[in-house]
Amino acid sequence: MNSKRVKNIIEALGKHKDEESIEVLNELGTNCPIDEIREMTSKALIRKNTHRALELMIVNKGKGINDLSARVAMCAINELLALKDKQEAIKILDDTINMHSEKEVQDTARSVKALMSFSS
Amino acid sequence: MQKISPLRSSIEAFNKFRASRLNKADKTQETNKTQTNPFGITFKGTVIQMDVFEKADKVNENTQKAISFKERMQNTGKLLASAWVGTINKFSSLKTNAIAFGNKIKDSTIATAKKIRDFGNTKVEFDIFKYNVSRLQNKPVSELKSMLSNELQGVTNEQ
Repeated sequence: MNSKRVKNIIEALGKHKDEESIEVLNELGTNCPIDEIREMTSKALIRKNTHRALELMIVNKGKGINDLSARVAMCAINELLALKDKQEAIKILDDTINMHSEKEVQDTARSVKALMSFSS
Repeated sequence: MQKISPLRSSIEAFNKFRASRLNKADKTQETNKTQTNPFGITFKGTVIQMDVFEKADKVNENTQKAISFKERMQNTGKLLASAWVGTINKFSSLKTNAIAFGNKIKDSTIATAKKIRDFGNTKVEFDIFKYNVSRLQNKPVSELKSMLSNELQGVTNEQ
């Protein structure tokens, strides 16, 4: 696997101004069976720090902080903690804790929010 | 019996000695006349005889005068001709060398041009430039999507 190429493409999509890039990353990156690629996609989407990108990483089950792979989930959480502007992320986390149907997702969001409040 | 006095006997002995020396001197003079090798140069132990050297007395004024002007001119002409032939040979060898050198340069130039042409025909894709993030960023999302899907397809096929 030429991970350098894939990494560069994902990074370029993450930095792309077009909102369509988020959908591409969601469609191809987060659904990829390879952990490494899911990890790279999570990083790229969280670094975008937009509502849509953060929503995909926080609310969806099996993606971002709720990924089945602990490595990918931890990487997404680390990226959220590293954000300079955490306002949008905290807002989405609050909404998830209050309104999400899945208890597991709510618990994860709660833990991440606690970590973020400690780190900031 | 005649009595021989010591003086007389000594005179006789001296006369004999003188006669023998004179004979010897005459012989050496004769041999010197025939030889023109005054320094006694030898070749493999044998003294080189007159036919090897040009006699000095041969080249006298009379003989020099005998060589006519025509002969001298002929000799000069021969010399000039031989010099001319030598020059022609030298020039021809120079010409051959120059042609060989030119051909060599031509062949090497053609080979280099061929190599350059072949290099130009081969499509060398440098990943560093093609997959540069800043370059990719400027591309449309649809193109990036197709690129990513192709790469991921390759990856999943590998696995």
